[in-house]
Amino acid sequence: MAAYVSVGNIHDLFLSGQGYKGHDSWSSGFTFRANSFKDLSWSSGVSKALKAERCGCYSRVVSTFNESSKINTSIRAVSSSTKYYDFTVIGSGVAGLRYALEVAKQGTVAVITKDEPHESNTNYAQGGVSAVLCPLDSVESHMQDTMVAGAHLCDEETVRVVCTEGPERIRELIAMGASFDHGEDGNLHLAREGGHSHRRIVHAADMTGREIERALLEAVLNDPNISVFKHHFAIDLLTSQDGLDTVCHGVDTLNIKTNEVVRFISKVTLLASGGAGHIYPSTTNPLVATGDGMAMAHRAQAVISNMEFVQFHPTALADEGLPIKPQTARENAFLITEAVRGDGGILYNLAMERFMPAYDERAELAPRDVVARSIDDQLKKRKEKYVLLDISHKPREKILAHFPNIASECLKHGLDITRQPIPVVPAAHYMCGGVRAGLQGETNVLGLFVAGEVACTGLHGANRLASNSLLEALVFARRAVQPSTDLMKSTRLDVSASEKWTRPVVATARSLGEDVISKILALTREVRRELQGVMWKYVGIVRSTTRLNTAERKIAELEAKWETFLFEHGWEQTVVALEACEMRNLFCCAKLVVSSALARHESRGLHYTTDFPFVEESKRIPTIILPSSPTTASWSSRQLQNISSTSVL
Amino acid sequence: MATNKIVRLIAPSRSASSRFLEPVSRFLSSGTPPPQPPQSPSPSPNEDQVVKPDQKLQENLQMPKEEEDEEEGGGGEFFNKDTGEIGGPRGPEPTRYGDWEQRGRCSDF
Repeated sequence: MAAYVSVGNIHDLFLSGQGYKGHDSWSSGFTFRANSFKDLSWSSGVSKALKAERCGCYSRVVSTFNESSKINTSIRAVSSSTKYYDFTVIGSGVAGLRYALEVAKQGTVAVITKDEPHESNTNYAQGGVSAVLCPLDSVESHMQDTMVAGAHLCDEETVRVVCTEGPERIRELIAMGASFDHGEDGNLHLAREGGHSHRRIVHAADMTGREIERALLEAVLNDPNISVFKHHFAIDLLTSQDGLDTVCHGVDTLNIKTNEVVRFISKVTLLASGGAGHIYPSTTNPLVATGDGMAMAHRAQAVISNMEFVQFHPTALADEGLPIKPQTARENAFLITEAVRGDGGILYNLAMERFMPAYDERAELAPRDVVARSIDDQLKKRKEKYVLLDISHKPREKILAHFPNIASECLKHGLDITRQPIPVVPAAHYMCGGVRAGLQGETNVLGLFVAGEVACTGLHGANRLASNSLLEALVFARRAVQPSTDLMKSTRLDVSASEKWTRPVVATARSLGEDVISKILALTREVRRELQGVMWKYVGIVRSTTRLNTAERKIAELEAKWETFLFEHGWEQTVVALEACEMRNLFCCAKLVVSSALARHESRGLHYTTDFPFVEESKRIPTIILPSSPTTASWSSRQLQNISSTSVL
Repeated sequence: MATNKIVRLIAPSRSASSRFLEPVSRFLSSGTPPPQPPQSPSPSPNEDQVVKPDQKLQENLQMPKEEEDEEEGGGGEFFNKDTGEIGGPRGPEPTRYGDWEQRGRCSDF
């Protein structure tokens, strides 16, 4: 568990001298000692060798290290398993790609993505992007809507910046080739989504995210300065201590296809790895969303914020209730639209009792969060797995005309929605919290920037306004460009730096034994399901201190059981495998959510707890999790790599 | 109406509001040219749902559309008669109940 969790304002951290906003903090991390590096690995031999790596030769002064003994071994550092780039981007969603395209004008960029490049939460974001693009609309209105939705926990300056810069980011996307729906006179067609007081959602038919991703990916693949490394799973950030500051030098990755570790050394790293939906059993997120970025950042001493605010959708198709269960587990949940309820759908529990009127006089038409809480409450009280949404009393033609997707999906699994109720269960959708970011995407770790869902910028507050997530990603990816390039230009990378950290070792049948590997794999899968079960049962939509404490205990026990099994069977600190690394990240994120939830003694936005069911003005501050101390660490909360030379940590 | 007809000869999908456009705005486009989705010719401008932005904004947003006007290849794009939206989702308005809905499936809320 994190050593220190507080509900406090990040600005307090600034006062204590740990500030990272503004430019002051940059200079403390990098002191030039150009003289001592005159004779360093600038030899032409190394330069030529590095040219093969397609990036320049750099030298960075890291003051705590004694470099002289490492100079002559620099050639050894040059190998295909270490790559050097000016910028490394972790994640290939809209935030990562947008940033990559911009910084590629200044230097070399590596984009690391753990699956195919298009596989990201962005690709599934099919609603739209919100921005003030109508003259009748105003930035103030968008700001107001955002802050109301966020239960006034948003950072006002952040909201202002995002709402102001949004329109320009949309125009840039259009110039880059994204094509959005428009009217016949050429104006963008703007839709109006729940929570917005004006029409301001820009969209592309029904697949805005996919369209944006397509346009950005095309531009990225055509850019000679950007190298995309797909099927590279990021293991841990490479950091060092410079006095009080933590500095990020790159990231270790696992090439899943070749089962090799590839180390990326870069001057600047952008974390854009998306969300952590898979800490819950039912989620709309694709399988890649296992909270890798949040976990890596936490292990790298970055500050995490507002993790308790997890956005659920009340009615996702519940596979358990389908007559013909899907062969393979559905990768991401099928959300049943509010329109079904709006058109007359009724919610029943498994005893066919209509329960909504007991919770709210608006019954099924109550606000989404009320419905979600009510369903959650019913499921917990009755210890059931799903509830039923019945639209079968409506005319068959209307149902099939309005909801053909649901009809066909259910029919595939033996359910006729014109005659039977639909099994539904809430699904995790979006993480409003994440790595604490300043107005330019900077974190308290020097050289580490964040953008997108992985970041907590203060825009969403306690609840995200519809269509604001793509917007946040675009704006912050763009804002991080200037400080990143400034930093890149003032940094010189040390070629020999790559061997400062111990290398992760890939778990293979040869090293551990075929039998052991398969046992570990099986246990890991089971433990993952158990963790998801604990999170859903105890850290769901309706929380309580008792349940959260239980969750904390159960997660700790589960983690200990899993780690013990691994290490008893030959696993070691630096051994890596995809499933195991994802599991440790899931544990880390789950613990962050639980700690944050325990720290908030009020109910606000997405965080609802029966012990403190009301909003408290005095508690209207973000939840902050500071880095945990190394001594308390489990495998999930410590970085894999140790600094090999002696240094102060 | 005569103006409309002449305008239509030049560029089939232009509406009366095309007087805001200047040919030179075409060359202001920066970045890669957007893909060329086809335009379905519109008989008359439906301005109920569509808002008139300021001139500069319209020029900026108009640019991709102008390029689309030049080429009319590809399959048909859906034209929504009620809203005047081109390329939009078929069926009822996706945001009619506050979330983003497509054929029953919700993707954003």
